[in-house]
Amino acid sequence: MKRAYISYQGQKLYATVDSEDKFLTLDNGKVIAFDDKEVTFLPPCKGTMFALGLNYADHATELEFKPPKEPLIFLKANNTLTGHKCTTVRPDNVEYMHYECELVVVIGKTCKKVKRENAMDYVKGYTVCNDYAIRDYLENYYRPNLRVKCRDNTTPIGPYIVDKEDVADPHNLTICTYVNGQLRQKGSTKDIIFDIPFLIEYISDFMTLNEGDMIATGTPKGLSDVVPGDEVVVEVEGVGRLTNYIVKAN
Amino acid sequence: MVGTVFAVALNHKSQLDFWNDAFHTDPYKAPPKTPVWFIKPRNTIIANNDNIIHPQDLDVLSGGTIGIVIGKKATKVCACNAKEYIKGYCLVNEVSHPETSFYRPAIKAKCRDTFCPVGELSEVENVDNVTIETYLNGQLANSWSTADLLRNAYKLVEALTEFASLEEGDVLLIGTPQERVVINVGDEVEIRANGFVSLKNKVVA
Repeated sequence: MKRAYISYQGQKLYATVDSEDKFLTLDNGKVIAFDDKEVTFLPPCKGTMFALGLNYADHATELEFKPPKEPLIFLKANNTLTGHKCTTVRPDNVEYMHYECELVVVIGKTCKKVKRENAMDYVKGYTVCNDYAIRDYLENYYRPNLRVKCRDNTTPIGPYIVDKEDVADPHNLTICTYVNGQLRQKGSTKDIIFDIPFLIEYISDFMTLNEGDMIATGTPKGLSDVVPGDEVVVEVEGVGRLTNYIVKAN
Repeated sequence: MVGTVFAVALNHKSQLDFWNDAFHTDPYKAPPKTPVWFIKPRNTIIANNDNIIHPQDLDVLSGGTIGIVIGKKATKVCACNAKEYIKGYCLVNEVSHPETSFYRPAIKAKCRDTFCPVGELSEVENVDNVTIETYLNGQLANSWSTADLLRNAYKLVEALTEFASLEEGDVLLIGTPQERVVINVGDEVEIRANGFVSLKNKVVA
């Protein structure tokens, strides 16, 4: 099952989505079109968001770093999350703002000190995010610093959560980014360095993971600049296709 | 109900002085140009009288500080108007393992369960010259003044809201000095400051 969280006619509602992304079935039973103009997609879950840096062997090489021995994990606050088909600001006078298409794991129940072999029991499902970065703002303190990775509305996420049971192998999914319809980034989750069970074991060893927490698993190579006016679509095979529009600061 | 807790590192003169030489070499290359932010996620938040869990495999430091409690949505706020967006202040204990590096996000050092006791909202007008005291088992163990911070509360609100909006109930921690108080299982740690509701927590295994 696929479950979205939307704003529709002034109400915030959960809705299920059919297999072809044509319809939304609201909690009250009403069925509307997936692309109904009155629908605003909201981030499909709320919790602590963990994000991985340099977690694909190919991307780590692209950025001239050695793949890390320990996962590079940073946190993202709720101000940075936004929904499907929303806009993201590219600040004026920056040189390099790039997308990052990522598979996101959604935690289904509270857990602590989970072993790798049981880790998938705590997964509720998956979604997609676009973890934009503005490299002009990078500094070598708690890198990637919040000014790069925790800006308002710079992490589109969704459109919905897909149940774990509906994704046969999360470590073998094609990941793509299209800018104005043109393929710019392509990779596979099979190239993830620290896989999902590892990350759940690693994080839950020193902190509690709660329902609704999210782990963005990193991005493959193929980064490039985006500018106001661009339509950016990130897609993870079988998990979702998430659209975002880049706009100027007003 | 506490919202998102943001915190700033390296905002006290003593901490920058201590790290100054290292910050001119790799991997830092230069001292920070903008405030160094981090997040204390929801698993870290506890209240007055709750227990701090000591992981026991590493030293744990009690870092008494002040939290700015936001009163309404704040986006791109000027320091000159920051007061309007602040509901009040509270004492917070920014519990942490000692820093060994500032290069990568320090979630293992700063985000363990119970590592952020948050005290009650206090009626305080201004926090530019407050002495924050830490009592360990009833004895004064540390004292520092917010007058020695690099950026004051209003400047921090301006710097953070330049890129991250704050909501009502969000909290912004204003920093800790280099010297903090080592806490161990069985200790009782209390943060006090004039005009504030004090914050007391026990340390357990």
